[in-house]
Amino acid sequence: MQQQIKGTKEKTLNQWLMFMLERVGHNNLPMLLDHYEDLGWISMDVSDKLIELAETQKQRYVGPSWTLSAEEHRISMLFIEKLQGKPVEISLLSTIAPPKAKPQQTERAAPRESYVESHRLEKDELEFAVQRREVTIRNLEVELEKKDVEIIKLKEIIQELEHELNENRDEIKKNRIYRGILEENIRLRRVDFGR
Amino acid sequence: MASKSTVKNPIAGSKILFIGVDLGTNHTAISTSDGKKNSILSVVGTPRDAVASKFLKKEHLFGDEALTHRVALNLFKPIEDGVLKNEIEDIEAAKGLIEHVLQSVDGDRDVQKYAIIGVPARASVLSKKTVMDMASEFFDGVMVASEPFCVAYKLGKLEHTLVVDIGAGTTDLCRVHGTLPGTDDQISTNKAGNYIDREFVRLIQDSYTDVRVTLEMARKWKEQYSFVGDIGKEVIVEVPVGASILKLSVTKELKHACESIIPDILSGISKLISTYEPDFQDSLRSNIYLAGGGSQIRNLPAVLEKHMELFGGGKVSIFKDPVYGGADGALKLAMDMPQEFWQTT
Repeated sequence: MQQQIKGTKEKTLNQWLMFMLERVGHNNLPMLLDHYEDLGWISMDVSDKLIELAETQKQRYVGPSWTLSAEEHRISMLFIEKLQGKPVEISLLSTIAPPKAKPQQTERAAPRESYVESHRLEKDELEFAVQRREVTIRNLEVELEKKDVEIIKLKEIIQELEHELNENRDEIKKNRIYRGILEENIRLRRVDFGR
Repeated sequence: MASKSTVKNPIAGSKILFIGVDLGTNHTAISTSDGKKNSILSVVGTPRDAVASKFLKKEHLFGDEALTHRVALNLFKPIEDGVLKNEIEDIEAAKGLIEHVLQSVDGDRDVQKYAIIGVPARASVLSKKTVMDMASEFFDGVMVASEPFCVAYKLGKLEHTLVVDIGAGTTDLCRVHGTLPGTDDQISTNKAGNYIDREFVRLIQDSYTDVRVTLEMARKWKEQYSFVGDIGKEVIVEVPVGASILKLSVTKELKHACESIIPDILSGISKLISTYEPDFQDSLRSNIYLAGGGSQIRNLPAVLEKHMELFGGGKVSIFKDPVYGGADGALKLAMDMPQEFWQTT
């Protein structure tokens, strides 16, 4: 008889746990239980027992928050009362208030063929783009080398032109000197001292 | 004594002969484009009388030959203090000199002759005109140019250069800055070789009574022993005293005589530097070249540099060829001158 009672309690505990998990999820369960502890609805042992029990669940839930509606808290209260041995009809409670937490995906489902195909195309495109960039870089490097050669040639030309410019400047300077001497001598030749 | 040598890059067999002449107070130097050179003393002698004429068998003697026979000759030194004298006999003597040096380098042959004659830096218009007119009968084209500028041209130093040409008659300072030097770029002073000779004679006579020292003797001693500053050597010369010849020390006298030209040179250098473009004054003071016979005075660059420390320092170098520097520069200028310019003269 006692074993039957114990089995019923565990069933109720599991039902309550599922009720809570389906609404707040595994992630928010400790906070909800803390709240019930603070209200004095449950003891720390019960709280620990529920958390332990939650960890054994195969299906994990992820909930948006630890808070429940007043109606949901009332149902929790009914579960607690039932666990305390009071006569409560649980079957009526489970349909009230829909679950909010979602089951967590623990294993990835195999991708769809279209998804794989689209990624393969994207990969091909990226590889093509990379290849094209590599070719572009190679072309640019070749072009750079050509430009370097051109720059060296241009520098040589500049040096030659500068040399030529300096020579021309010297030439101009000298021509100015020759002209100066010539003009001075022409003036001298024209001077008449009346001899 | 006349000396002959050759110049680089002569134009052999050309129908045009370019000539550079340095008509100096002491020496007349000539250089030609076919590589010939000659330098003689600027002295011309003519026999005093018929006996001398018969004995010498010449109507004109030049240079050392004229000096050797000076007792039998009327001597002419047509160039005084760097300037051709304006007397007819001196002009004739100068013509004779030119003709003689021209013959000595085979320059009297039938080719077109174009010459540049170096004249002192601040020679007057009259002086330059006299030289030009005198020389024009020997050449198809003749021009005159500043002597120190000719030296700078020979050196190839046409930018920020100061040439100090210490000749016999004048010391010419010329600042060259890429163009033909103007009046402000040139300074000329009479304190040069002949001034040193006169001072030297005066100082010896002040130190030793009864000595008979001529300018000619002083010049020879100067050419042999001249120095400035301290060289740590005694200069002993044989001097006629009364009827005998004594060996006397003239170290102090020679040093003072040689140093007597330094103040004017330093003053000229200082003036030409201080009035130069400030940005290039340092370049100018680092490019001072001594030319002419006076550049051979021992220790002169060092002493000038020491004195120049008082106004910022400087670098003084010696032009290697004191005898032909002016003539070679004039020749180079003549050869580089555009051909059509010669047709204008």
